[in-house]
Amino acid sequence: MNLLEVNSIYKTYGAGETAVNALKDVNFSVAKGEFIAVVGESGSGKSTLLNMIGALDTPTSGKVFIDGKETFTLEDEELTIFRRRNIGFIFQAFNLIPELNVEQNITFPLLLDYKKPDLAYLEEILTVLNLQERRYHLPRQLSGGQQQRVAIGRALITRPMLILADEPTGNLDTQNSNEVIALLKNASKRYEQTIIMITHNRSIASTADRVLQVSDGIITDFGRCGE
Amino acid sequence: MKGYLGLVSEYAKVHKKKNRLTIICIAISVMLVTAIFGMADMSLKAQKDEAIRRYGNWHTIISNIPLETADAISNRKDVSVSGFLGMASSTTYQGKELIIQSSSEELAKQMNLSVTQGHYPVSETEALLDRQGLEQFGLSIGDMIEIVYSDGQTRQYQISGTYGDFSSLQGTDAHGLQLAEGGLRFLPETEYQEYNYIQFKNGTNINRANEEIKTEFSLTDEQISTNVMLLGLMGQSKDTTMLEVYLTAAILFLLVAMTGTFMIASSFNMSILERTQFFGLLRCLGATKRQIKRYIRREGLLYCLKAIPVGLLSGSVILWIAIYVLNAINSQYLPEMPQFQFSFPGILAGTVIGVFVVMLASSSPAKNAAKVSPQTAVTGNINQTAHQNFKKASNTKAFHVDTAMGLRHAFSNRKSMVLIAGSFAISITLFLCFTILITFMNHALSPLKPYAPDLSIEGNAPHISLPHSLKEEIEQLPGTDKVYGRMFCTDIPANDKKGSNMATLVSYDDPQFLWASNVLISGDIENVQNGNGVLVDYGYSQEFNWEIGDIITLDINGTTHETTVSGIVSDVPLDSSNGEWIIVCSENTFTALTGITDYKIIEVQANTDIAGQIRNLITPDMKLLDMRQHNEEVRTGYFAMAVFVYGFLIVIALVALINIINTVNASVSSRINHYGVMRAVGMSGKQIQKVIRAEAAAYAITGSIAGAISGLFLHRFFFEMLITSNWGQKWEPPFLVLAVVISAAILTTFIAVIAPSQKIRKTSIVNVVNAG
Repeated sequence: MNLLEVNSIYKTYGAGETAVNALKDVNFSVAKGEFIAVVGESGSGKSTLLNMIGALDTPTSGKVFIDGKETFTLEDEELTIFRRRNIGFIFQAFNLIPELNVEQNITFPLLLDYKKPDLAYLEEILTVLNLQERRYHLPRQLSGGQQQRVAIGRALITRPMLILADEPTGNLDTQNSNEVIALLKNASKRYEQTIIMITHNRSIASTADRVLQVSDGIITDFGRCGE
Repeated sequence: MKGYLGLVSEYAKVHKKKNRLTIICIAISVMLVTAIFGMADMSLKAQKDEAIRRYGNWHTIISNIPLETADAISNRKDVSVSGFLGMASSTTYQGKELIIQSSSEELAKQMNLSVTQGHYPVSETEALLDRQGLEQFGLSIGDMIEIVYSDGQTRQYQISGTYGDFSSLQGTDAHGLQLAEGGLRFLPETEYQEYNYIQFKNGTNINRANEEIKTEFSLTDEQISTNVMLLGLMGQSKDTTMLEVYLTAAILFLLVAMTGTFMIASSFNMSILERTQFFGLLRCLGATKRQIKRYIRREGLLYCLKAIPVGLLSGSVILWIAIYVLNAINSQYLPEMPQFQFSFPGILAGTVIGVFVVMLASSSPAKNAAKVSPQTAVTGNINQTAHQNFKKASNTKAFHVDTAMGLRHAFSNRKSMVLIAGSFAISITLFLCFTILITFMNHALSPLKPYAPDLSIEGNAPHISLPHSLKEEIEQLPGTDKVYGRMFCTDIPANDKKGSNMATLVSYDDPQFLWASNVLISGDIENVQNGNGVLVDYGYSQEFNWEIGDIITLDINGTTHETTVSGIVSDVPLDSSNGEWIIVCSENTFTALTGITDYKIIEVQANTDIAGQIRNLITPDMKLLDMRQHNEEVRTGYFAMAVFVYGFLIVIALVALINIINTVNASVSSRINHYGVMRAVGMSGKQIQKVIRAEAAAYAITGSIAGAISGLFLHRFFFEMLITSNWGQKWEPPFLVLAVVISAAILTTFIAVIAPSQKIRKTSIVNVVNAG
């Protein structure tokens, strides 16, 4: 069964002569556990697509199903809760919460559910991400790579079925980039998670299960690498 | 754009909403200062008018000086009007008290005597008679009136005219005869007094002028006295009480200025903090630190240009509302205030505080903004911005994550906390302190009591009493609203559980029991009205520790009677002049105890003018005191102050509430990106509202605690200085007012959270998370 189904998504900004079609009739599906790389030029519509999948933005028309649930029919409150329990986000700008320490940032989605984290799992994440010694540090006390690792930890803590990553290595140097991608891939394999990642990095894209190219709002499925 | 400073106006065009909050904040602060200073200015004018109307427009009285000295004083450059006012010893005409005075026409005018018909006496044989005098004595202008002076001399005067009513004459059933200046000098010196009244020109230092006069003419301190009330209102009094009032006013206005200062400073601080990144970007693009400072100062000036006129105008509109209310409730006794006037002190204070504080407030954030490193701006990481430079993590163990984050927001930036909570605290302190003015006003200007009569009937001598039938006859007159009488029995030896004293027993009838029930503190009116119980004043019950059920024995005509305290009331309409107990009972009880059946006083509240009809019912040994004008004047005097005192409180409360709403709004606006990120990672709208609520509550509660402490401290200080020292009333913590103020502040805070929370929900998450 597909974890994600994207059906006839259109997204138009503005109206009339100034209207810009960011996405045009986008259709694709993703199976559970797949690692998808989304590539394309700047302004091609990659981030818009990811925002639609993550329900951070609403399409002009079309439907998105995650695990069989149509996301845009959910009420705002319901959608927020669905998102924090089922989707993990990793942003280029990290977007950590500055007033929370590393441990709190990682467990943030659970704290929002007023739940106590599974300590063993938290320790595992901290170990995998090599953040044990930094657990009580605030984001401003971390390097860029460390911050992005915290963001990955946050995306993993609820064991979401889907992880959406928008250029997670965009602000990192090569070594940090490689580390972060390796971590993500390992984690997704370990926890059977589906990853959709926007990247400009060809070598990262080459390690994906499938590559989707976005060009002028139109999506082309290149299938599995090497196919 | 001619230079980099042109960016200020360009930025303002693009960020209208953000700027609006700062502009609103500056505008309401300026409005507060303008309205309070303006109202204080108008209140002083109204009080000055009222003092002049009551006591006359004079500054100094000098007694026992020869004519030459008076002439020399009159010729001084700083003297506007001066002259002798003569007063004859008590005289009667047709059985009524006649007050005979002499003065020049100009001085009479300054003493509020206005000729309504005829002309002012120009010769020794002419006189003015008051309007009611003409009516009651059956005289007309041009008639002759023959006066027998206290030394037996007889003089005839032709009535040259008449003048408007004086409440002091009506209230004592007396009349007034006004003679030309020096018109009493034919009398022996023992039979009249002459005083030299002086009104100085505007701008004169009256105390210095008085000292000069004293030295120049070798006068003693006893010969010179001043119009304390008027001089006080002119800011020229050296009286200790007035100096204390000045000190209070100075501190209160300092507090108003501080409130404005804190509000502007906190808003400006927030506006700069949220744009640290922007300033970093400017630095990155090559702006020097000095240029950043200049930029912020220019921005401050731009805010001033927009906000100060709005603040001045809205402050003036509040002032106009106060003037409108004052004019609407004012009877003919106060001169009508021009409706659309600007208060110079109000405008000046508003402008100076607005410009000064914005410039002052902009200097500190300007320094901070200039410190932002260019690198901070270009990394684009919101974690690095100064506004979110957290030093400690939120305490998610003690609180839920949303509450913990809200509290961390509030307490992470000490300066913002001090400024925001400080502005809450000062508003609370200001409100508490200004409420003392109500107590002050109620002591200084007694409001008209519900039992205040329009007309009173008394005997001309203490032994004369008024029959019940007279009361019944008055009740039958059309236009009568309430008629009530009191019987008195004085000098009664009395005992309570602790000792003895003299007592006065007073009877009440139905209307008076109805009023008493409204001021009943404990006990039961029924046992007094229809039983044998008595009512006592709360003041006595406190002083002598009387309680309901206590026995007071009265020794009347050799017989001892026991009376039981059945009710304690906060107010009785009689003062005990020699410390005697005032004991109130029903008419039946009174007659049973004393055997007296007739009234000493009958009072009337009427809807129409029935004075003439009552005069026809009373005998010559009774007098009718017409209190209507006096009541109206009391009401006017009270309102003249009440409008402004309540005006102050309304403005302060309004500004404090707007400030809370604006602060919460500004605080949310400054973190809008931050909230966007939290939404992206799964925070719901309700949780965002909790974060904001926790932050706002932290400001409100910290501000309330600080405000309560400083407010109670200052309240006590002002209360003891203004009230306790003058009227003896002891300070009690104003817990009720404090509770209301704090509840209002906290409630407003919670309401203020709703709109920004909704705004966050509507804001696109996408722009935020991608913008970083």
